[in-house]
Amino acid sequence: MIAGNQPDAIRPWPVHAVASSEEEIAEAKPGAPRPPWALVKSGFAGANTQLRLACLLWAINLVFALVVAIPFFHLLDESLSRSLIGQRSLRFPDANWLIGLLNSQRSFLDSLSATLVWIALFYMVLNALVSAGVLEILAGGSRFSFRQFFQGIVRHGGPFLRLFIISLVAYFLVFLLFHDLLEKGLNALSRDWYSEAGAFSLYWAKNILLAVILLGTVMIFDYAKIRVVLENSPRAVLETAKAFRFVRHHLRPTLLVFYGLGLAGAILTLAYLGLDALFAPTSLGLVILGFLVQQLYMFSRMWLRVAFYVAEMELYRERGH
Amino acid sequence: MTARMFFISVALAWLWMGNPVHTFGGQRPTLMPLEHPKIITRYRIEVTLDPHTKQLKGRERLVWLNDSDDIVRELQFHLYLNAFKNVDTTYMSEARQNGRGFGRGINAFDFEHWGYIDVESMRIADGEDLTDRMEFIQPDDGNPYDQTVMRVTLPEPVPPHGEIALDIAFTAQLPRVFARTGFHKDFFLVAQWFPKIGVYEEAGERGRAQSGWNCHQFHANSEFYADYGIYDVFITVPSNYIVGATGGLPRQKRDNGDGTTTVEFYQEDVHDFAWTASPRFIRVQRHFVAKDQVSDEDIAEMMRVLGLPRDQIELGDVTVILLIQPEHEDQIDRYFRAIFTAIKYFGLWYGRYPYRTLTVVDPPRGARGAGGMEYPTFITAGTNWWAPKRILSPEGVTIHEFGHQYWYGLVANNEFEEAWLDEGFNSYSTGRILEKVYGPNHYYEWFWGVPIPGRRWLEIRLPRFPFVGWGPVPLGSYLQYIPFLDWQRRWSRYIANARLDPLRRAAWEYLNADSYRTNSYDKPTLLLRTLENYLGEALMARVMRTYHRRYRFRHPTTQDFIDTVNDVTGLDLDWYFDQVLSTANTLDYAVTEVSSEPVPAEQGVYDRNGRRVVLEPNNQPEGERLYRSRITVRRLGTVAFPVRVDILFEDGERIREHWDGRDRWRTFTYTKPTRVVSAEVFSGTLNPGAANYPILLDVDFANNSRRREPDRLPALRWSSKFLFWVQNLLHQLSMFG
Ligand SMILES: [Zn+2]
Repeated sequence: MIAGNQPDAIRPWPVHAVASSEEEIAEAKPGAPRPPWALVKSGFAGANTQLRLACLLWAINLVFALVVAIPFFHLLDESLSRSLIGQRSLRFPDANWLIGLLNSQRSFLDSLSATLVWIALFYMVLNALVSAGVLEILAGGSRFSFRQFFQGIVRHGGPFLRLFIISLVAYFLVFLLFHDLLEKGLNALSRDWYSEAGAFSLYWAKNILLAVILLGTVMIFDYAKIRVVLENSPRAVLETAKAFRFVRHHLRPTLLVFYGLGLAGAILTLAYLGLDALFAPTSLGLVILGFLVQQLYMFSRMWLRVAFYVAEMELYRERGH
Repeated sequence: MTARMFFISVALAWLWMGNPVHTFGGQRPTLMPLEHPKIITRYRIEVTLDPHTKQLKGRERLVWLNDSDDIVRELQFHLYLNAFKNVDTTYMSEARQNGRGFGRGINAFDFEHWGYIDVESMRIADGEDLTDRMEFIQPDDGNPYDQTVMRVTLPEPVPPHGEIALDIAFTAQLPRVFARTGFHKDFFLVAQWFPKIGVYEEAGERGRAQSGWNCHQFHANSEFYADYGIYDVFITVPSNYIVGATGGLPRQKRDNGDGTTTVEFYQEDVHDFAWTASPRFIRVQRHFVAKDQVSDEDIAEMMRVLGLPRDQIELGDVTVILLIQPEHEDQIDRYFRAIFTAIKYFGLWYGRYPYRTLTVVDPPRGARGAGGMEYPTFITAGTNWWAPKRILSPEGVTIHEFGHQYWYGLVANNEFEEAWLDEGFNSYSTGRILEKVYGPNHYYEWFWGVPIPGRRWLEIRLPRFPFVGWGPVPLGSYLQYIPFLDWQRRWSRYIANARLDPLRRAAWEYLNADSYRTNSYDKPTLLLRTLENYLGEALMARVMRTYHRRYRFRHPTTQDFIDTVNDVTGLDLDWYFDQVLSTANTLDYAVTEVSSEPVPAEQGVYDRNGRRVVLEPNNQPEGERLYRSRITVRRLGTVAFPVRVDILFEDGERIREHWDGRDRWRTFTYTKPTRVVSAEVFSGTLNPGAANYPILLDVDFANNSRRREPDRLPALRWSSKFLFWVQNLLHQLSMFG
């Protein structure tokens, strides 16, 4: 058994967590948990030192997306490139072209949809494995290496796949309770309401509740993964239960860290939408520029995903024992 | 016929109607424009609404004129409400088969609130009781469960041009609003609610072979048909209810002292009567003042286009009553702008609106099935509390339903048998107004009460969560408003369903509801617009005006319209109507070849000026490079239509070619020092100088044009967006991984 693989071995502080101001140093002392905002910052700093990790995630994402995007390009090329309707579709899709395409290529689009569903499933499974590698690297605190990455997959892949299956059951239950059954109840409740605004608020309150609970579930499984890696435990069910207990006992900091980073994601998306609204890609240069902006945005989302893991892992390290 | 019966009925008519301005005679209708219709039916109905049981108690006196040379031995009545009596009626079983009926489909029906009508008694006024002579018949499908048509055999027949007066007592149980009529809590939209006599038609009338009653059962995909008449209706409701009805302004109002009020509505020259009641309406009344709404330029323009004198163009004033939900109060101005726009343009194009009032009802949440329907001088529209301006939500439906005052109300075709003559003509007219006044609409999808911009373009059928049944799950939509014109929306349904049925058939004989809609609304819009583009706007305007003028207050058929078109244009357009009305064939022209090759240099042995010369390819003079360009247009569809081909060359020259479109293909070749850039097919036009219009009936627009050199930029632009969208979807899902 190699040294790093001892059960219950608590790993050293990752290098990127070195605080930059005196204030933070004061708060960063082991045993004195830092406030959530400091953890969020620390997550960003950690993600900055792991840009290659974000690059890897982005590349995997791009390759999977290309599998469906390339046939789509051929479809559009076939129907647009020789037709004058193409020029008329640069700013908005020409309604006749779009509708005609949907109608004449229905079976192609249906099989593209089906392909997309399979690819998404495969991507999710793969992602479960990839996060094992990612968390292994973050737990080790060292720079990215493929060796360590694959070591993580080998070491924690099994429990991570089990966690994935458990999480699917959990999401199913959440949907069943807070989407399906709740909506049936609301339908019955609001059936005779005259007020459209009232019914609207009711359904949106339900949607927000559903989103909050879904995100909470996501967060619990993040901590379950972190526990599997840090505690080097193969027991997925047990770690899920412990993660749930951890979140329940540290509800405020876990939520603040999670939603703090979520807010960063929302700001990022708004920034992208603002950029996107600035220009319509009506020339080759602008199409390329648009593509670069989109890929930069995707990369930033991957970077943010790493920041989530870093911040949550540090939170767990500070309070999880 | 007994002389006594005739005397009684004529006397009654005088008593009820005061001085009838209408003449009753035996002449067949001529095609002189009518100021008033021939009055066949006179109804005087007293009805009381019980808001708790949702029942109507009614007493009806009906005077019916036998406007034929036949002796009529039986009467037939529509009892429309019986369509909602059980699941086995013709209406309900058709709605189930189609997956949908009017409104939101059979799943929206409230199976705890059935609707029906019981005729408790019927007797000849001051005469014989006919109650035992009533029996249900099913002329369309023989369905024994259907009770929407009733026959009464008369003890003594009605003589030619004689009248009969009947006293009828009935109780109607309203269904919860599902299709047009019913209640929702304290909102009532009362339509198709009283025993209504069918239409007796003589042989030859509307092309029929034998005389007889035209009284169809109520079908899921069909509307109505009735003779013109006079309606005098006394409605008793709780005193706090606001009432609106055909006729608009109450003739009198009486407080009964028992918490109820009786309101009388009276309307002449109409063929139906509907009303609404609810304590929650906001009632807004405004006046359409013709001189404020219609400028002198508008009138001069129409005089020029139609070649009619001023007095035939000028419009009249109309009192408009809007009964709107409190939650939609901020849309009052939007409603009135739409109504006034419709009164103006329908009036200018087809002739002035002849009634003094118009009532518009905005139904509440939970009663949307009552919205979007037309009755004489009374329409129902509908909107959402969240209605962004660029979504023409109350506007489109309001203008459309008003349009039915012209196509249904005034030109009263048989909607059972030729639905396209009302829905299609009206959709064509509505679309023109929307495009002229409002511009494009925008695609959106409702997402839990929010209109999300865009339109689904990827979806997959997955088990519906949590795995009960199957349903389409949207995978993607363009998250941006896509502008579209009214005809483009219709085109999207047309291309999907164009091959299902020929247009000319009875409403319930189409394959399904989609086919009914396509053939009644969408294809007619496109075929009339195609005709308009071919004839030119002005000539088409004269066609439509003439058709409306000839058949106002009459019951025309498809053939009457075709005859009018041929008459006004001086052309024989049967070739067009045969193709688009009587077949389900489609039209598709495509530019399949656009090429330019250098003309090969002369090479070989030539005889010139009596001498033989041998030319080598490399001793040609410079600067004389010529190209041979070929443009091939093919007719891929069955329907043939004249086309124009617009060809653009690199030096900016444009050439227009005309082709009658009959052969399967046509190639145009040019030898020029410049190469062709692109070619595009458009509709042929009577006037060769007219603008380029697409042939709207074409089922594929992408192949209507072709470039010599491809331009991949649009494909790159949209597929990079697609790539980005897939990336986001995958990343989002991986959160749950
Ligand atoms: Zn209509």
